[in-house]
Amino acid sequence: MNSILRNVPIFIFLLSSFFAGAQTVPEEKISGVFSGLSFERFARMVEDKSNYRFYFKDDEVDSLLINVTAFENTIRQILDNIFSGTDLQYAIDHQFRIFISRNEKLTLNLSPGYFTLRPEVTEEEDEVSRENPEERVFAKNRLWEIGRRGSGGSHAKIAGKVQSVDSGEPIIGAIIYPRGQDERAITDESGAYSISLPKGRHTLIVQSFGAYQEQRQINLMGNGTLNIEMDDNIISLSEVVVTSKKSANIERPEMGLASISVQSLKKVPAVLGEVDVIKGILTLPGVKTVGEASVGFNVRGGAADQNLILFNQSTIYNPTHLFGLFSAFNPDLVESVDLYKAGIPVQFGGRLSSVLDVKVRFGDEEKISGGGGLGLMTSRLYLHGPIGKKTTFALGGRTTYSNWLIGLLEEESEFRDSRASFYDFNLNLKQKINENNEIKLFTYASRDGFRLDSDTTFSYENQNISLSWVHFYNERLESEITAGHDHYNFQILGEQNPLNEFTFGFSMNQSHFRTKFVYELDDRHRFTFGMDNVYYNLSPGTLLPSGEESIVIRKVVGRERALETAIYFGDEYEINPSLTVSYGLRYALYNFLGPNSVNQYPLGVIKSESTLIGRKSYGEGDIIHTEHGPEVRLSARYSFDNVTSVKLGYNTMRQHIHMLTNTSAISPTDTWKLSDPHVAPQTGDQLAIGYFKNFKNNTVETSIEVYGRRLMDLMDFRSGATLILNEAVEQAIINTEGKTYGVELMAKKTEGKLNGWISYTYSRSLLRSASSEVGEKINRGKYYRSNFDQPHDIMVVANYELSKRINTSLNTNYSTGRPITLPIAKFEYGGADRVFYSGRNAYRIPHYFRVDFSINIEGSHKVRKLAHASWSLGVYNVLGRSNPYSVYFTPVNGILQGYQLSIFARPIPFITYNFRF
Amino acid sequence: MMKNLSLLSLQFFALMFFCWACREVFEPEVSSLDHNILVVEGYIEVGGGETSISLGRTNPVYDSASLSPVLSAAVNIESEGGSSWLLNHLGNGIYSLKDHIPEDQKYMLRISTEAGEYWSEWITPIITPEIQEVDFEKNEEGVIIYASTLGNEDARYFIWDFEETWAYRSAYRAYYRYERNTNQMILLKEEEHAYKCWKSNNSKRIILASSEGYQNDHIYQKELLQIADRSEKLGERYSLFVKQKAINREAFIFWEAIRKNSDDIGGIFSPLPSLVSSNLYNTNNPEEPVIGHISAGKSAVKRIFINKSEVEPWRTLIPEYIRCQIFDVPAKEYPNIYWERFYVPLIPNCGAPVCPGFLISTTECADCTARGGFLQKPDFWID
Repeated sequence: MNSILRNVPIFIFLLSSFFAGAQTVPEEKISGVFSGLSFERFARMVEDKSNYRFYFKDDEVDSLLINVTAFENTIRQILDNIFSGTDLQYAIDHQFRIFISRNEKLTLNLSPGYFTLRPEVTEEEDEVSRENPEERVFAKNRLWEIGRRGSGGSHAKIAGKVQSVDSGEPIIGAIIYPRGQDERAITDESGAYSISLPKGRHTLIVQSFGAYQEQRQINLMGNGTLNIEMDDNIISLSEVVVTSKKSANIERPEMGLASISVQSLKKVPAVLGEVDVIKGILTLPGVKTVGEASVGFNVRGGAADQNLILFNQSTIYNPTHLFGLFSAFNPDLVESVDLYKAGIPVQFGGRLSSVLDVKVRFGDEEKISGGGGLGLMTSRLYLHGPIGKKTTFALGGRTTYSNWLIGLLEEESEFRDSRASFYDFNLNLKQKINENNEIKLFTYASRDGFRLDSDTTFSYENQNISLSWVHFYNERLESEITAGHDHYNFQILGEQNPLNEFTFGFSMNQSHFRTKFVYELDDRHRFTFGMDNVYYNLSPGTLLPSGEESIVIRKVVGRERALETAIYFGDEYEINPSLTVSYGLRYALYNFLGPNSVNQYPLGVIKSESTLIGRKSYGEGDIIHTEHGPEVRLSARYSFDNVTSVKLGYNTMRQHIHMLTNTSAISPTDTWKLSDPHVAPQTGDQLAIGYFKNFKNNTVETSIEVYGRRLMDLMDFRSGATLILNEAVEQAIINTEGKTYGVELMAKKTEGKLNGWISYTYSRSLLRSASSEVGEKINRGKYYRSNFDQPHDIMVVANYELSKRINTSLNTNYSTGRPITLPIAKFEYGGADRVFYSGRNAYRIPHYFRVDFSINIEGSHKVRKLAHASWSLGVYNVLGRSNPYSVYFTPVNGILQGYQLSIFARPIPFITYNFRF
Repeated sequence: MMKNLSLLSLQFFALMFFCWACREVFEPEVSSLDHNILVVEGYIEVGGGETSISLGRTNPVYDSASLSPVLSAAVNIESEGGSSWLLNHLGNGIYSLKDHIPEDQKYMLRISTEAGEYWSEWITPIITPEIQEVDFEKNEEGVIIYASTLGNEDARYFIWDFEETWAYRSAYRAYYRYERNTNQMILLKEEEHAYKCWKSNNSKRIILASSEGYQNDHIYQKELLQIADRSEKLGERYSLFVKQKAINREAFIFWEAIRKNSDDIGGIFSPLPSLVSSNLYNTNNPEEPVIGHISAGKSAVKRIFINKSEVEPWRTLIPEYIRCQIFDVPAKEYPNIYWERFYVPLIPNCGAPVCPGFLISTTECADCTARGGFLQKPDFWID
């Protein structure tokens, strides 16, 4: 070292050495004039006066001539200056060692105690092991080498999963992008992503709403895997999995997709304090219900039976408890809720209006945790976590104690003998067999029972089970094969007197077998293809005497069976970063199967009792009737820049199962019917255009969507038709076509103390008897309003965070009253008194307006605490407005009198205590 | 039944369970125009026979009266050939014509009212095929009466109406009548006895059938009515006068709608009704609703009789007679009894050679007219 000093002609050296602790490492400042030196000389001089030690190969640096004047500069500043314009790189570790290398960008050599040099993570080694917490802190700054050096091509692909560090559950809808570049990837429902980038160094940014931003330094050398773990938002802990997408509304090609996070669901004030999936989606534009206590919801002017409601791929026929007061999904077990109003993905089909895809949780991989809630009427409990290394479970249930409450009613109360109760239960298991195979079991059971006085008992049950096998063939191809069975039944037990005790009921059984493949051809094409098989077995209605004395005459409507098979293929094609097209075709084949007998009518005449010419019988296995047809799915997204995009979607749909309803509200007794030789499948198409723009760094999202739909072969019914226990329903059907159109405006603020959304929807839903209909035509064949034509709808959901622990929420909803057919006059005809009705749905019930308020109070937000408690309290219908649910007429002393019935006509306070551990 | 059940349930459910639901009176604003719809019912009878058209206007649904007759209208039937017939007003909104109207023309009904001129579309008369047979059958629930007919290319849709008439007797025969002025019991002549009566009913159901789909258009045994077991209608002798009219398809749809619309009234879960079509319109305002569908043609009629002996064994049960009693009234009490309205003397109560009083019974049990019958034997009645 001394010899170096001797050889320096001009040399002023000042060194300021500051405190150099092991934990905080302030960089030493270096001053000096290094003029005309070789690198070796320069290094020695720095080494002499500082703690830095240089490691380099002579032959890599021998061409350098150093000419630097430094004053209080860091070593990095100096080295950056020296190495600029060369292919040399450097790295500095904790122990002040400086590693110089050529070409290779920063092959970081770190001290073994703190950092490990990652071995190459290649295809052979898919899994990046879970990081321990200390490691995670540094994961951001570490360099991850991905792929094998020397593989061909200028680009390489990274695939992997984004998971929550707390629960190990996938983070859906997270955006992954390299800093300063246009490529984007979004994680799918299993948290998986893939992105193709030029080889070399990148900083990958991972963003997910409700989670901290993560970044990874990568050196991309070839195709490989990178799994990323993120902290969930510390407030929401692991309980909430957020699917809301920050700039996904701009990026995703689908339109008409509304995702609602469980977190925002929990903020929506609910009746009786129950977090409610269906009440939550009703706050979205384009989704309405005919009344507070009604079973279904209407999407973009479609009927309630046109919604496919999937609970982890299982069809739920009655998504409500207590005839619509609560929805059937236990919020603790819900992972995400997606409602597709348009641009329905190709793997879904069989309904005209929408798909509500409720995904369930399969449990935390880390530790067993649970929670629950106690409300005024219901309580719930859940538990989830790992069993052993490869298995996780999630278990949850809800029940009511209303029976006990009713029992407290006074002795004389006429309702003392009434009962109303429900329960639901979920058990989900996930077994990881190995890196490439995973098996999931989903089970769900719910039951509602309701007794009026002591003589009539209503009950209904949902029972679902499904088993899925997820297999990863390689990074590009994965498959999911699911087999399951869905059951729903409804029953009325009448016990008024022994002579006419009866049991009325109907039931549906549906077995399904689905295969779905996702193949990523390259970073531009993502193929989805597969096959769905659904076997339906319906019992449309039975009336049976109950008890020995009963004289009720047994009546059973014959079972209906059908097999619906669909094959589909879809491609999400990224033409360039601005333009993405998603297209697909689904081809449905429907066979109505024997044994059954089918009523026969002459061609082209009204189907009525008087034209019935016979019945034709079919045996088991006979194909009675076949229907088939394509369903087209097309959507495209063009983004002008990172915050503005235009989307266009067109899709056609087919539906072979129909709910028979001719009442203004959906009645629980409405049964289902399959398409048969007399009942054509419902078909429809939709064209939608949307404009999406984000403001203020993507924290304000605005959108306008315009849509138009055509619906064919809908069912309306002849005057006064009885649909229950009707063996010749075709005689009652009026072939009907519909059109709906509307515009949905929405502005959403996703962050800040005040957040929420405001939406306005103008929509119309009109029906008309088909011109081919030979029988009676409603409204003389002109268009009439459907039962759910409510043109104006305004929704304001506002959340205000008073503090990190106290969150308030105000929910305001206005909509036009729904249409109704009124009896407006009476007269005598054909020897008896008759009532003259207005044109179909010519009048409306009064407007609907409701304001709800709620407060959520978190007990404490310390992360490490045994149990976390929170309170949810509020008032439903703060203004106490009597919003009519329905209007009906009943003769009083021989004169018709109209009544309006409101379900929640007063402010209803609620309080729920929630806890988790 | 199910529908009502569920309707009830939901209301009760809401009302009782939460005690928050409210039922309030709902009186929608309905324009007065809608309260006042012209109602036209009738049949243009061609080739001889009586044409009868009744006119009325609807009343608000909350009214007690159902129809207000239209009294001052001019009702004309016009033929395509230019002939015209004016109908006479018989009162109460019924307009009638007994002229011979040719069978081979199309007709139009023209109604002039203060509120405007209403025309029907051109109506082609349909000659109704003969009623093949009106027969009956005894079953567990009583007696069922059928009509059978043979349709043809022009006559495929049928509507029936009927008038039933039956003879019945009071529980007891009253031989006397009380004369209040003289405080005397006066023996009646046999023809004055209010013991045997006749009673009539018109059909209230709308009975429709189509011969479509039947081989040779043969409508076999279409049920017209069911007489309940033990009904007094078959207790003596019964007559049914059946009128069969062939109508066109539009009329068939109209009647079917009327029939189905009337059963259920707009409850929460009751079926949605639909607007009934009409073949009449206001010439100034074709959009104005008019209720009614006028058909034309030549109807076919048939009368049958059924004797009690044909349905034996037939035990008649008249509920009003179950509590019939005979009272013994001493002569001094005669002036104190409300004879005229409630009681009828039957026969003297003669225990010994003297008759100290009378056996009497209630009007309901001893005067058949008290139950709505008439004593005059109908012209068509053949015993």
